[in-house]
Amino acid sequence: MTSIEATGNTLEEAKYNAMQMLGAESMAQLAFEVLDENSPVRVRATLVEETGQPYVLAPDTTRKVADYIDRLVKKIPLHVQAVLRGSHSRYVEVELVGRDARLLVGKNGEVLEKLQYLFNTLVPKVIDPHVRVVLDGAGWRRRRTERLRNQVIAIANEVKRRGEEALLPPMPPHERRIVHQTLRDDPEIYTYSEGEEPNRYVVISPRGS
Amino acid sequence: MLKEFLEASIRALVDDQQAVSITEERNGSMLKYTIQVAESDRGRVIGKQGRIVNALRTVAQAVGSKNRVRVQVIVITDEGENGEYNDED
Repeated sequence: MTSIEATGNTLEEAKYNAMQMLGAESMAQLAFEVLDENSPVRVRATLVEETGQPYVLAPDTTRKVADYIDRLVKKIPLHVQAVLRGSHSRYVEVELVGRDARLLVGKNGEVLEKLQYLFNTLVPKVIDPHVRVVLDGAGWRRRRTERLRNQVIAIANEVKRRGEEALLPPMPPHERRIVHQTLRDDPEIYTYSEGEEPNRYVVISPRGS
Repeated sequence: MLKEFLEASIRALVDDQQAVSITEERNGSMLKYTIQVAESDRGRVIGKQGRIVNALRTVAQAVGSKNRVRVQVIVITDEGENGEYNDED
């Protein structure tokens, strides 16, 4: 079950921020719990299906997604295959492995991000419109996520020590999501996003300030 | 082959399957893929801000970099001169 905390000046804004953070297309996909009615309003949002149940993909969907991507990448004349790494809510995690996998990661994950975009266009059309693919290559995203988590925890500790907000550099939605998730259980911290894409960034804020 | 990867990706995107054709031309250390699709499918293949065709191009160039070949991927449509969309880098 994917659930996050979001804030905003108004309830409307908090809900909208939550929708963005979860990558949902409509409010109908979310269930809200208001944690603090006073500005800044805090809500806990959970990704649900229209039925009110947490979003779950059909059991064979994750396998179908991985197989489809595997068939597709095997057409590329490189030594690469795709393996299923896991799934949570609508996200299916697939990793490209093999001798040439790093060629499909590229400098700073440039190729990998483009390939992930391509698969996120193809897979919803071919397999299931609800699926989102999280694509890794040769462990690049896993290492990057780990590094980001560690940096975020260090910054959060600094925020607590100083009692001041910290503004992170602009990040794409999936990285902002990692930041929010990393800190969501920290009782002394709350996080929210500000700014417009592609310069949207996360603010780490001490609670009660 | 790269052509098969491009073809499978394109076919998943377009409505008009009949109109799809991909040609591969080799010229020394240059490899050129010309993707032809129906005019009505042009936007689907190129994507918002060219993101789809750019992704295909990036994969093609990654393969090219291994084989020390320059790879070009262009998209054209069936509407002759006017409908031709040539957005090579």
